[in-house]
Amino acid sequence: MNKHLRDWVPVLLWWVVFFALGAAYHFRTITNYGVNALTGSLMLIDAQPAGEIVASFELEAELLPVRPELAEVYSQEEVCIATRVATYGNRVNRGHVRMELITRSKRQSQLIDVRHLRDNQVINTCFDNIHFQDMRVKFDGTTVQQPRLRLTGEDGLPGSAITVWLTQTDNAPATLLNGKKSPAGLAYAIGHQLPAKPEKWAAVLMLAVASLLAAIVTRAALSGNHRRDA
Amino acid sequence: MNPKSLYQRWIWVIALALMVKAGMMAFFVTPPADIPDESGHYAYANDIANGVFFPILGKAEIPNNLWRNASATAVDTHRENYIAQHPPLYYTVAAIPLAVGKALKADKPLLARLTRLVSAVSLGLLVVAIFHLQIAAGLSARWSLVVAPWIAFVPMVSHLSSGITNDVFLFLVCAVATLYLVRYLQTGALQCAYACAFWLAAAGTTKMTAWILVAGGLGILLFELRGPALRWLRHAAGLSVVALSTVVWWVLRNIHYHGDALKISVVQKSVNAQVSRSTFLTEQPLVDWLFHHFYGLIGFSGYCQNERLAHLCHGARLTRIEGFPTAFFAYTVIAIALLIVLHSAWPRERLNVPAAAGPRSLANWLGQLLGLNTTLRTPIKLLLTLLGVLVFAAAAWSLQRTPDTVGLLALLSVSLLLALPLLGTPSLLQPSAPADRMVFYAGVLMAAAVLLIFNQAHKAYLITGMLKGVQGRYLYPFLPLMMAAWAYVLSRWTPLHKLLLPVTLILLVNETTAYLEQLIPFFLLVRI
Repeated sequence: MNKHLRDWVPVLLWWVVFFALGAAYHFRTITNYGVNALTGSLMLIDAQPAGEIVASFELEAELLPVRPELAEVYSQEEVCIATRVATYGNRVNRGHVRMELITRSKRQSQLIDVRHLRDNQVINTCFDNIHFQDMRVKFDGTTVQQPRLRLTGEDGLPGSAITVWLTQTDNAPATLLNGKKSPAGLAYAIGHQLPAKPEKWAAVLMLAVASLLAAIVTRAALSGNHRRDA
Repeated sequence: MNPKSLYQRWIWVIALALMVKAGMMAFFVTPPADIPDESGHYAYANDIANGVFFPILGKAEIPNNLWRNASATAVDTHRENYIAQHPPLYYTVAAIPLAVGKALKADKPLLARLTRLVSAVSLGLLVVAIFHLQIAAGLSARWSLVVAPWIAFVPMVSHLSSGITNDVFLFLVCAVATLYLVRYLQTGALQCAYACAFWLAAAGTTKMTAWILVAGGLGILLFELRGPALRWLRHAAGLSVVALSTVVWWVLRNIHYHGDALKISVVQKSVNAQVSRSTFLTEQPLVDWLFHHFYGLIGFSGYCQNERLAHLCHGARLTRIEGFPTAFFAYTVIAIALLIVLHSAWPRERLNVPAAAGPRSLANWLGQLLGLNTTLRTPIKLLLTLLGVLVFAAAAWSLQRTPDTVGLLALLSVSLLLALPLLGTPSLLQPSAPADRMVFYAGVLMAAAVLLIFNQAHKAYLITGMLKGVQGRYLYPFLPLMMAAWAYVLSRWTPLHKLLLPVTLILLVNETTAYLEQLIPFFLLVRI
């Protein structure tokens, strides 16, 4: 075999291996790129987990209003909610969580499969039936009714259910946890979907370059076994 | 094929891959103006591309619509270029692709991205320079290939290499200067000394932060310069003229325009608080910030991309990389610092050079002078080692207010490096190989840099009442010599080579994961 080819074949093989491993690990995150946060905060300050989201779990947070200028610019776009989950030490989780967004005129829920969620991952859930124009605060003369987010457990079992982070930032929302007022509020953000095609392709290319670098250094480091070091 | 030439080909493949990655990030990932002070840097390059050489501090401006094709209704106001003004080499180089783009009538978004490519190319060349630097320091080509890309796996470095900033370009210039310095130490070839002086001058005309390296590098050259007195004087003068030429030019320019040799910013300064250095050191998380900001403090004002919402854009939006990647990097740094310190205190296979046989230089003269006195040598070595340990203990003790494990590891690393000059001083007290003294020189320059950052941060604290100016990237000029010292020590501790591949792969995985899982989502998440 040509000498150049003999040097490069192992590099190419390593490249394929590293790229496959990287793609398997990062695939879900890359395909989910494309949500931004117009209000709220995902920062964790004096944070605490809300408790395992098992079948009897219920959390309800009053979402803070989106700034009028932003709501006007994005009024026709669907609303997405980002939350930060926790998985109790990377264990294997099972079950589903229901996320329901309730506004003054609409409500819509989404079912989230928790199997592939990682610790501290930010998950984005979009509601195609609810737009920013629906997120206005309702005032009936005596009380102000803000949009609310409800998280309930569908079929989660103790020991294999995930949770979400609560935080104590200044703008944390008023949060009821299993019917009782919680001192910490849900870490969340309200955003809309962005066209993120360039970022997705860039991420794939970054993965390819990283795999190539890993392949070359691996080949170089292992070459000493059968070749005198220079 | 000769294995060495094979590794030399591979390092160029690695460099090319890093350039492609950084270039692609510059085009598609890093938002416009999301590198620290990127608008100010871009404005200086833009001025030069427009034929203004060199914009004067106080008169230079940042055009409002620098980054995008403004709509017909947009108001084109200008603001003063507030960023620190550094000498113009980087801006001149960055102006070349910008001027070419303008000649080809490229639109504004494309012009900005073309200008960013200078940093992307600098990153690839930097890794090649470090590869050759580590070989010059004594490490084999194979392990140099494995270790050289480490710096490119620091997310802050890859972030900066995708933007308009002088940091990565400066890093490259300093690495080349250091390469020739190490070659001079190893071979004594005078052309290497002059090449080093030339590149030091280039560093001096890129950023004022590098002036410490210019002074230190020239000091080392003169200390190690060999030959009879007249020849020594002739070349000492020649090297000094070359190395200091650009610094003197910039100082004279500053005096001419501003009446202040070190004028750097238009921001008005007045002291608002009286806080002693010791109080400042113990009450502020200086080392923790220095370390975290070295590894990854990502973002700036690039979140603001909607012209209609420009009035909502105030200040910077930043994120730090936390968790396992930062912790692993901290463990790696402390392992390197420990190894260098251990080697300085208890050298392994030290190459002692008999005094009479060594070439004549101030370094060898000093070693010969002190080395002859064996009765004094041992107590002095003991005393300096003890002092080194005390400095380490004092630094670690005074910096004990750290929030977490990473902070603790970071302060241990910095404390060890601060003690290194004293621990390494014995290499001057006896005839020794220049490479052994290189470890000492690296420690002295790094300690000087850390102390300077501390001093500047203290000054900024007195003015603003806040911890500011604690940026890990300010250490870039001093890292190449530390990398050479590390490579030299590593070349003598061969059992450790088995660890290099896993460490390289983990650093690489951490950097990639940080981008794919945290930073790209962050850029999208904060965008308005």
